[in-house]
Order: sequence, then C-alpha cells, then structure tokens
Amino acid sequence: MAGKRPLTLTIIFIILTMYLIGSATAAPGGYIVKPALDTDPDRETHDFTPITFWELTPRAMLIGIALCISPALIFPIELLLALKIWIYLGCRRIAKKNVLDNTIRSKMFDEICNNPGITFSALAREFTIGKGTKQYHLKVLQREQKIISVNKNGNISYFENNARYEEFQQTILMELRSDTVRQIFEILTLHSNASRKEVAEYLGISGSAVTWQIKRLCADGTVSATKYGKYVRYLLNPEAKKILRDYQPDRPVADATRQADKESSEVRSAVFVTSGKPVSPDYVMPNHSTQKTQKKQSKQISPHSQQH
Amino acid sequence: MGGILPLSTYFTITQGETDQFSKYVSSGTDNLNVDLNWGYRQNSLSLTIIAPDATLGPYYDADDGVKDGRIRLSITKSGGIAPGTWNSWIYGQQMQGVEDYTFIWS
Repeated sequence: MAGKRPLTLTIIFIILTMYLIGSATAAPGGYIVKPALDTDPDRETHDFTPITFWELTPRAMLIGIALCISPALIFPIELLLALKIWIYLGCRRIAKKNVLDNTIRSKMFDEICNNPGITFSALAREFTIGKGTKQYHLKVLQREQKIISVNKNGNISYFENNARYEEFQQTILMELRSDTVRQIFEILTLHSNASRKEVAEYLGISGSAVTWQIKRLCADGTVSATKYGKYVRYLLNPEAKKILRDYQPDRPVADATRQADKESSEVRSAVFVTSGKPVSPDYVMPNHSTQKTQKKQSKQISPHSQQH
Repeated sequence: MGGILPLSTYFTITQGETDQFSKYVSSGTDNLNVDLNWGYRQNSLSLTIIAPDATLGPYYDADDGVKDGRIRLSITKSGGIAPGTWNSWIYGQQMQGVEDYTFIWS
C-alpha cells in the first residue's frame, strides 16, 4: 500500500500540471473555447432552460457555491472531485492479478485454501485484525473470484474458487468443521450400521445429541438412517465415504473399513477414555490439508468442542 | 438598461445574484455556441459553463475579444463535446440596478 503512495502523488501532480498548463492554452477537459463573433445569423437559436439551484447536480452546486465566493475556488473544487474519482479508481485497481499483493489478504487466501470450508469465526481466530478489515478482505477476494462463500443453515464457509469443490463435497467439508460430526464420520467409516447407542457411547455424548447431529447429516444426505427391528442404524453415504477418503490420506477409508470389519467385535467392547470421554481405540483424525491443522485437530479430541 | 435585445426570452439579474440554466447535449454533438447578451458594457456579468466533464470559465465581457456587453463563445472538443446535462451559472459581477439579458445557444 505504501508503495502505491508515490504513484498516487505522481498522478495528482500530473493532473495538476495538465490542468494548469491546459488553462493557459485551452479550456479544461480538452475543450476549445473561442470567440464566436462571426456565427451564422441564420443558425437556429434556442433559449437555455432556467432552473433553480436545487435542480443542479451536486457537482454544479459545489462549483456554483465556489464561484460565488471566488472563481479561484473552482479549480480546487474540481481537483477534489477528480481526486475522489481517483480514490474510487484506486480501490478498483485491485484486480485478480494483484489481489494477493496485500499480505493479510494473501494469508487469508492461503488459510482458506488450506482449510476448505473454514468459517468466518475460525478465520477470526487466526487473524488478529479488526472484524471490518477481515470482512473487507474476504469481500475483495470474493469480488475478484479467488474464493466463494457458501451459506448453509446460517453458517458461512469459504472455499477457494477453483471448481474443485462440488456442492456435496462442500457440504462434507463444512460438516467436518464440527469435531462431533468429524468423530461421527470416523465411527461410521469404521463401523457401518452403528446404532445410535453405539455412536453415543463411542463419543460419550447423549443419545439425543447423536440424534440431533445425525438428523442434520441425514438432511444433508451424507448419512442415512435405517430401522432394523427396534434399533436405528446409521450408514455413511458411499459418495461421502469417497470424499472423506481424500481427507484421510494416511488411512484410506477402504482399508479402514476392512480393518474395522476385522476388528469390529474388539472395537465395540474395548474402548478407551480420553478426557473422560470414551473414544474408539482406532481413532483416526481426518487429515486436513495442512500440518498446522492436523496438529490443532489432534488436540481437539473432546467431542463437545464444536466449531459450529 | 441600454443595448438592443434580440427577440428572445429575457431574464433579469442584479449585483451579487446568480442565475442557473441547463441544457441537455445529445451524444455526437460537435460544438455548442453560447450567447449571453445584456448589451450594456458598463455592467459586468460572468458566465461559467459546467460541462459533464469539465468546468469552463468564468468568462467575462472581453473574453470573446470585444467589450460590448455580450459574451459569445464557441465550444468545441475533438471527438465531440460531452453528452449529458450542461449547467450554466450567470453571475452579476458589477452592476448598476437591474440588468436584462438573454441567454441562448445554437
């Protein structure tokens, strides 16, 4: 930004010089005003339309007021009006090619790329700048089509605008922002057709809390619920499984599922407790794009620490 | 107050007073001739023209080369003058009494 200041000053200087030189040789704006003493007498003439002060444009009003005080004020007024335009143009100078020249904006963009589906509040935690500044930079990134925002149930998430994330993938990535949902996905990846009671036990949360979460996931289409006798069992959408695999590169879902089938009986009976909550011994945190995120997530075992 | 006025609508102005006028210029117009005529050279009126893209003036009696109580100007611009509403300010600079004037364009 500081680097642009000399450029702005140069532009102002050029405008000023052109205006001053121009006024000595011709009228401003490239106009040529000359005496019209020998106009064609047969040329049709018309009266100008008299108007009141309030019918003038704001610019004409300002110039008129300046004129009443001193004609010398017209130039400064015009200059101010011109500068306002330059300020406006200055804002618009941010284009797709230089939108990431700003350090903060560039970091925000990297954060969004590394954490697809990141929410505004999560971004706010990463950047200790004013809310308005964050909103401004996000707006600029969206305007220049670097990112997109997706609003789901009032939660706004941000994605890199690279056509990489289809709608269903966006949904899953947004769901993954919640620790509880992430853990539900992991349990359903390892144990297809887990019951509500089993999920609740694994996570150490109430059955109603599981129902509430699963209801949302079913509405999104990532999980389906089927009634077997008196128990409702949950199944991960195969498409969701595929997508989730990309976020568990260290342990593909297919392998995990095979292993889960093998270990099924042991897992269901043997649970260990972390932070007072029983968690599957085969607990695998999904691997988001950055190591930083992985490190952060590995600390967030507590199922109650939701990011939504 | 003296001078022969052409057959046109005339207006009046006193010292320190301002009158405003407008005219819409359509695109493709090459030039605009303006004629402010009060006819009495002892009185001084000024004319400022506010084009959509520039402010022209203020112009005084002698700016058209003749001090005759009249300002006649031809405004041109390469590529045509700016389309839009053109406003004009007429200011009673130094006056004695009330002055009649006409303000026309062609």
